[in-house]
Amino acid sequence: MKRRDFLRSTGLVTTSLMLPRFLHGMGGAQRANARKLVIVQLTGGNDGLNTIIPFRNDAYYSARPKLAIARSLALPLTDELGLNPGLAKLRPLYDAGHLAIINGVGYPQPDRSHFRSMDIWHTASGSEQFLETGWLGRYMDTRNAEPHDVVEFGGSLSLANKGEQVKAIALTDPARFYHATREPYFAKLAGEQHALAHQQLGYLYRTMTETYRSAGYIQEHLRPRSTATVFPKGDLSRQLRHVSAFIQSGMETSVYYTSTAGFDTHVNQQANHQKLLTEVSEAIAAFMDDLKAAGRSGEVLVMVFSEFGRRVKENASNGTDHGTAGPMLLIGEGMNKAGVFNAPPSLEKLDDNGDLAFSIDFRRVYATVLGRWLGVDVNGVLGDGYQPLPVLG
Amino acid sequence: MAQTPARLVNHLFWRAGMGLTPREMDYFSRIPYDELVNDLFRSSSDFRPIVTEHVTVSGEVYNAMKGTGQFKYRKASREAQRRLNALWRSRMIATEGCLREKMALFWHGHLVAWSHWSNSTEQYLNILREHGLGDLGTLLKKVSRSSAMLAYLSNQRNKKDAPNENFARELMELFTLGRGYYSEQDIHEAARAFTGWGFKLDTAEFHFRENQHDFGEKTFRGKTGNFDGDDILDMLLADKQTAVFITRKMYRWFVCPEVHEEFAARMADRFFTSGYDIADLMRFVFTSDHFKDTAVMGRRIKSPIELICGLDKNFALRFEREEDGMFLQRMLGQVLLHPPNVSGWKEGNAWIDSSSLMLRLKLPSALLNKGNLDWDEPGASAGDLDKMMAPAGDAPMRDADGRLLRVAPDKAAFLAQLDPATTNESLFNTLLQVDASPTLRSNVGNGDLMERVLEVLSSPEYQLC
Repeated sequence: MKRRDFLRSTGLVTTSLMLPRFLHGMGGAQRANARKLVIVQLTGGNDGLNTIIPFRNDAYYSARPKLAIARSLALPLTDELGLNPGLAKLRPLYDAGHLAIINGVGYPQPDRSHFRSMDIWHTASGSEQFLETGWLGRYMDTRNAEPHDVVEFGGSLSLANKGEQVKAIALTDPARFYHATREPYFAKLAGEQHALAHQQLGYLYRTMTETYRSAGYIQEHLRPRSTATVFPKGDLSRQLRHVSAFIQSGMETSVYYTSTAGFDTHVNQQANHQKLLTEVSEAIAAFMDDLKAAGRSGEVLVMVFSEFGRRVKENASNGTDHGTAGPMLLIGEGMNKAGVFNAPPSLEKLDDNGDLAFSIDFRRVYATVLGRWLGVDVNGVLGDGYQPLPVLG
Repeated sequence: MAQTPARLVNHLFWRAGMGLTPREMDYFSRIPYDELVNDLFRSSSDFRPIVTEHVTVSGEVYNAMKGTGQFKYRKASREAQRRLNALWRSRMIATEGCLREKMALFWHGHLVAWSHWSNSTEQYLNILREHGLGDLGTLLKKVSRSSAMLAYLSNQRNKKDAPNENFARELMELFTLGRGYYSEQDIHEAARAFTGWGFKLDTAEFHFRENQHDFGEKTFRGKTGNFDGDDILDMLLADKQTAVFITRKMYRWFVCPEVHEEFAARMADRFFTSGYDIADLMRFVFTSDHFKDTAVMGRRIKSPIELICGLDKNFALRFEREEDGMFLQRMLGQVLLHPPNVSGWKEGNAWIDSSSLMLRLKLPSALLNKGNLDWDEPGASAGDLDKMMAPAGDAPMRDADGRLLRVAPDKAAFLAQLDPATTNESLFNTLLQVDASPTLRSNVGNGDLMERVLEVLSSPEYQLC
């Protein structure tokens, strides 16, 4: 009987138990995935319209007399659409067929709260549905994975990476993470297993045991990068440099979660937004260059998302307020259909609130990366009904 | 002869304060429970504001300053913020008046605001402290008028010609009704009612800008009238859903993370019927049999502030540098007066992940035993929606011994409160709010008393209160 079945059939609350997974040793049912997925989260609600610019659309310019990016400044991709000048470093990836732009990604009955909308993206739920596990957490659950199957770079773990039975590892610096776990007293506490009826105490002991084991795995396998690519300054760049080292070390981690914040541009958007996009594009370009130099670029797919786009109309504070659909980017060498995947949402046919209507449900993009890149059973993670997009083969 | 079981005494003072010292615990155990509750309210009855020197300048003067002038001003404000953080922490640690501070901490995580100007922060903090045990209506109206809130949720920019919905949305989603009890239309209309609510930059005092207020008719939740901001707040309070929403959160915070529906419903009835009398509600909770049930004890994962204050209370940590106190909070994921976002801190299991748990287990030896805290500063995570607001440049350097935090704890004062022949079993009872697991029992050794204390403090069990 599989562990999951066993736990289900006992009817016990799984979080209250010390799970016997450590008895399985490394791997368990987990298969190392040769393909890696790297998530880049743009926190705060990235302004999609000023990211992928509809530079021939009069409605765009009339809705944004101050904030619209001039046609002469946009970096043209097609006859209609151009990149924000801050994304110049993505242009070579686009030209090489390694960038796919999926426009108008969102979900029905969009929520304009950061927290709620981020939870919806993290849990892959519907607008009126409240899930307590994240989509990558469930991905780990279905694989019977070790916690380090998904590694998030940050001080705490996002809901996206919390499964029912497995929670990912959150760390900022791998070496310090390891040393913190290697106190002799902790080794003793982490080494003994007892079933605990107290729910919170069981959770604490279980987290400790798993952390100890995953820190050991990472320490044992992590090697310095063999490449000399110079990464730009910035937090996202630092995170991606770590990811590159993990991948070059042949780590069995299959998903890396990175993020960068500041996209909530209610005020003074001109000064801030392009700078943020520049940081993102330079960090990603350095990352892809680095992997290429290491001969690993074919193994990696990068997915960029934000919890929502912003209003079509600019506000009175030289900024934009919370909106709905926005573009997602996929970056990698394995594209089936690179370039601009679909037409951007209409600026004339807006929803009742004056916002962009979504054309592609974000869960179809998740289905695409799960099914066609990571090769897992999509329905087991997302539920039924989300068709992958032909952007990947 | 003990009048109140030790674990119940500890339970009360963990939920209503920051725990107790062993000596306090012995003393309070001899007092009947209802008298302890009375004392708790009595000692929190008077309000003394927390004051630091004001860093005040008008917006025009500030804008006219060039680089270094503004920098000095911002630096002075940042230092004053640190002092506010430390002063509030010291009030929390004192057992006298602890309930007032614990209530303010709860409201700080519920009616969330933040400002990088110390005079706004001080005003906001003292509103939470002054009215946190008063009535919710007054608290809500004062916070809504505070410069910290007006700036944080953009109401300073909410004008008749271009309404800004930020405050109106969070008011309903997070502060009063909760999701699902209002429409987008209600948000639009409420935002109009709050137009013109702002503050003066130099004094941080509320200022109604009549020419920016929309005096037109609004339709809010089925009613139509020339509503202003206070009318909206009154209408939200008149809806019992506000009492239901807030008391559920209070239940999870003060009683147990898994909501007992029947008791939570009684809390909501009580709160609504009393006209939102917070002290009345808390007394109802603390004196209920439900609160005294061992099933709800030790169920709360200590927030970082509770963890730090609990240690500080017993060991007088004495940070050598004020900024170390802030740095420690940031490492653990909760900086007082710097909430991560408008929904406050996610409590419970959310405090714990791989990195934060290891840090928590290592903390007692690092603080009390000159242990080295080999830890880098956790960056803002994906869940933190506004990394920009994290205080920058305050990270302390290691000292000559390689210590990241410089503290001079008073271990002797703590040990003097314990019988030198204290058994491990007795240590568990003094320091823990849950039964020690078999793992802990078999790993706490028979070394000297301080060593055994440290082993108990460095356990998963100690994370619970």
